[in-house]
Amino acid sequence: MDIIKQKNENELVIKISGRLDTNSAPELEKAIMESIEGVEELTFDLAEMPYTSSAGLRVFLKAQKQMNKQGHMKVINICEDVLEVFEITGFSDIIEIA
Amino acid sequence: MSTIRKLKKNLSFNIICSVVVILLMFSGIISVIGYISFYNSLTREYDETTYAICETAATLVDGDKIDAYLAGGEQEADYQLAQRRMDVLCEKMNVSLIYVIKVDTSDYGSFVSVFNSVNKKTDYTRWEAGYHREATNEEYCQMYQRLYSKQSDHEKIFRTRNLNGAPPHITSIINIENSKGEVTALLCVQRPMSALEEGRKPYLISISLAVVIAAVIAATVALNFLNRQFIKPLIEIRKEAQRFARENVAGNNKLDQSISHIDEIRILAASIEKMEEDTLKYIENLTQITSEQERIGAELDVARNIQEGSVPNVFPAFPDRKEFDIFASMTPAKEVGGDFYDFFLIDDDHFAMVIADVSGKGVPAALFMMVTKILIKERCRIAEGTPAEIVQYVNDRVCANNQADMFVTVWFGILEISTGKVFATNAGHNQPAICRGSGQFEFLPGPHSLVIGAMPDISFKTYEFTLQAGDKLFLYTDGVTEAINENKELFANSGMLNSLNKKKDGTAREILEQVKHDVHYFAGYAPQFDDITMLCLNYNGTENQMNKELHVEADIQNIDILNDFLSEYCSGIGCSMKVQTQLSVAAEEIFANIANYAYGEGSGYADVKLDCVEDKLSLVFEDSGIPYNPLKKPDPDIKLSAEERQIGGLGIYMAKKLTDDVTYRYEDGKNILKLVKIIK
Repeated sequence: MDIIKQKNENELVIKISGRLDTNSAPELEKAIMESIEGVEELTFDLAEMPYTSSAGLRVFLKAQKQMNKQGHMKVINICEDVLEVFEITGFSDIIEIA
Repeated sequence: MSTIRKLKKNLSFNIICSVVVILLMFSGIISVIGYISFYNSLTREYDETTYAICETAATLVDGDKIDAYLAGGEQEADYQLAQRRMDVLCEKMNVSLIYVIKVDTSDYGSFVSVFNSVNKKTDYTRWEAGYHREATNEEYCQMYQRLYSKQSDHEKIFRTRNLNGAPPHITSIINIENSKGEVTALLCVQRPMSALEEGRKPYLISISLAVVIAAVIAATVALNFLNRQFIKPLIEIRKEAQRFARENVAGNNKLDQSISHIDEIRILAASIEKMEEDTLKYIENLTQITSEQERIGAELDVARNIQEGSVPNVFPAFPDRKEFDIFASMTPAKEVGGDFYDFFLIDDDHFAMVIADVSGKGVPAALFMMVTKILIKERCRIAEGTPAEIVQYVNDRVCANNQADMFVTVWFGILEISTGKVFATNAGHNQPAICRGSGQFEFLPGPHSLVIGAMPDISFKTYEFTLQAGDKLFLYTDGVTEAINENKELFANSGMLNSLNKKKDGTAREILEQVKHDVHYFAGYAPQFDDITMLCLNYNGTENQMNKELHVEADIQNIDILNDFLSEYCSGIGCSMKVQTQLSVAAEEIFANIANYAYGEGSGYADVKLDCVEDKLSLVFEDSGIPYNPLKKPDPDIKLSAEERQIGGLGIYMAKKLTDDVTYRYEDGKNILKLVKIIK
């Protein structure tokens, strides 16, 4: 899994490429926590992410909780299989999918 | 020009010219010798007759009266009588001049004419008596002196050259003595040598003519001889040699051995005849050998067709059997080879594969190969048996009639199609190569037994291995690994494995053709040294009864292994990507649960079993950890807000949602969680 971050003042875009699973989720979590301070607009670009498990969802939930305190968060370019996971778990209700 | 050049090269022309030149030189020499002797005898004759005339004329002159003649003058009766008689003699004897002179004896350089008779037919002027004249030259002076001093009584002088138009003549001189024996005068007779003048030309013409005629006769005889004994035979021999070179068949007429009396020519003719006979024999032999070779070549072509037809060579060989895909090829180094492969269904669930290499190459190996091949197949047909039993049966039959002490290395395996189990016997053959799952091709070790045909009544070892769906088995003969290039380097095991791995995900045909291509490319222009035979089996597993197992340490790090295992299986049975992703998420959740909780602080293993029956794919997780039924845990409330949500329990919930059925049981100390997914 590769993570590309683009930070523009208080906006942060995180692009994830590859599988987000139990092994790679902590890496994403670390990447977010490093950069989230002061961010008011957090965007996850999931165009290149074909897969996520509950471990990935946990990271998104944690980020969402944090952003609820300091700004706004959304995910974009979500693929069908990942969207299904979001829907099954009700995450599509708590995370904005644009 | 070209005609002259041709003539110069013509043997007859050269010989004729040589003979003519030699004869002309010869006749020239004869003519010269003849002329010299003719001249000598003629002058001698003239000398003698002229001397006789001198003697006769001398009788007319009185030696005592010389001074009296001169004193008395021409009117004296004695003088006139002598002069008249001398004139008559001159006319009768047909001489030019008769004259008597008195030489001045002081120096012999001058003389006085006494008598002088001139033949009327000549243009000479008569000298009157007393006419004084200088001697013609020193030669005359010396002659006069010799005659006066009586050193000789007869002198002669021939004038045949430098005559200023005068005819050749001889002048003969004698002395006239008085009664006291003193020389008082000289008498000279000049006689024309008309016979020489007249006789010389005809003589020369006749002798030349005679010599030319003789030369022509000699040349004709010589030419006739040469022509008959030398040139004609040579031309005959040349014609015969030319004809033979052109036609290459025996002539109607043989060269006559009596073609010539010359030994060399006869030997040459005999040699040409012998050469023709030998050449014809060689041609006949060669024709026979060539036609024999053509016949053998045609037979070998047929044999090759028979051999190629004797092994299954129509692909796909079993289009109805989806459980496996097979491809094989056989490329003999010669027309026919000693390698062979074979495969056939023993029954619906048992598939036999053979690859073999007979010692040696060519026809003997091909015959041996056919025997072995038929024995193996027939033994499989008539009764069941392990590969070892079958190979042992074949070995005993082969040994019983092995006249040529040949042997054959065989790898023989029987695949149980439903399970992927292979029972094999390796009788001295190369180890097969195998590619398991997504791994690389590697050699499959197994026990070796003795080659077939070496010794009767020996036992063979059977060994067993299992092919999983997606595994590939590659069988080959040493023609592949021992292929050499122009630098005598071996393609070797490493070359073969590299080649196999280039196309390890391909079909059996693609894999085999890759190896074939690489061997060919490697060998370059080096001739194929050994038969090259290959067989590749891709085992797809059974569609309705495919199972696979993964035994793995329950560590979260091994999720990738689990994922590879699953995705490979799913690709093998043709799952859609969507189903594959769903299963993958479900499997990860269960595995993560086991890894995180089943063994507490310790560690253990998880067994993952995949099975597919029709469209139902079952995924079973087994662990020996703390008994725990995750299904008892209530589902998380997915309606809660982000702030209220707990992450625990979400994984099992997702697994349930993404599959069609989830069950749990605890059995034999194992937690057994089974997920079922309808894949179509």
